[in-house]
Amino acid sequence: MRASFKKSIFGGYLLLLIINVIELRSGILLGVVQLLLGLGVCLPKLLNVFDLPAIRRYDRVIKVVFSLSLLLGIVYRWYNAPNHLFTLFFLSLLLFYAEDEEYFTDNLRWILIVVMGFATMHKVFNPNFMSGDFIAFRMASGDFFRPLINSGLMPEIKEVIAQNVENIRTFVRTDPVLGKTIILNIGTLPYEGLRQPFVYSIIGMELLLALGFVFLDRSKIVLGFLLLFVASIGLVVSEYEFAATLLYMGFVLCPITYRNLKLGYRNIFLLYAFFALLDNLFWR
Amino acid sequence: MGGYGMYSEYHPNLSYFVWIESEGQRTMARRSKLFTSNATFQKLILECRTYPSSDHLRKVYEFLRQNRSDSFKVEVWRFDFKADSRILKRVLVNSYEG
Repeated sequence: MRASFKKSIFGGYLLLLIINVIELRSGILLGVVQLLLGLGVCLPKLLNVFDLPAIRRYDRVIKVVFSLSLLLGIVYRWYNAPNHLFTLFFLSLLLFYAEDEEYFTDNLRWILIVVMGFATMHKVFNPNFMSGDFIAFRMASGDFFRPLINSGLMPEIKEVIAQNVENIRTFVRTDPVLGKTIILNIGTLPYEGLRQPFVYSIIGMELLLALGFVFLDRSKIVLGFLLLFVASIGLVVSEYEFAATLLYMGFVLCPITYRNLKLGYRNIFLLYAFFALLDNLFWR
Repeated sequence: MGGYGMYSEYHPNLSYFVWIESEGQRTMARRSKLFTSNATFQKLILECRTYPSSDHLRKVYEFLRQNRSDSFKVEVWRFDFKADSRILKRVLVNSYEG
């Protein structure tokens, strides 16, 4: 570690690592190795009691082996590697080799620009997304707005979606040539009115975030917009790990002078990290 | 970059399926005994599902070929949904036959 970072940066990073390890995307054995090495890197920075000469002596080696273990997890199970694991790998390299905190935060900003920029382009060049077919499918199969649907506020829609899920499950098992098509029921689900506005609002928000971080740097309005955008992810899809990763980045990027915004990032990051742990340990 | 366009298109975990076709009969690879008992086969199927290139399909074919003498095909199908008609169907993405 070339730079000396605040404890909160390491604390948040360690929480992200735990979330990734518990998700077991790299397998159990590699996950345990990643966790132990990650603890070896982070704990001495967080608690003086772990700042032992033996760990300090092998600090560089531990960091290299730890980074390689993350990379191995991605390469070995590339077909299962989620976006947030890639991001964690880049965050690790930055944390270990950044010159100073300014260099670290500036690179986080550019990671966000790349993430939002690629997300926008991928959607714009995807006819299936632009037509609204993909959004409609996710809504009709209950993948979107799950917390709202499960809240019981819309019992009829919940029942319709449960029936769709069951029909899809049966459909999947049939020979694709024999069981040709099924029709998904939408009940009173207002997807006709929702899908196109949803398509354009997602693309618009991601594009604005990418441009905002390019031209307005770490301004209050861009950071506030990122917080709103990412915090709303949990209401639409259960991507708590990815949301927590972006919130961590936002927290680090947010200057201490934006006190309320920074608190917002911290609290929502902790909430999503908690959801991610619950999701992986109990909800799935 | 790990695909930062998530939620733009059908996710391989949920919408792509590998099937083995032989004499008009199809078996979903994920629901076969081999998938749960053989880690190598499982890995090949998951790779094939995520990136259904001819090379990945060929690897699955060659793995199965070791213990089979009949003719068979490896196929990858994915969902296709049209919002206007609300019809969900499957389309063939790729297939491989020795």
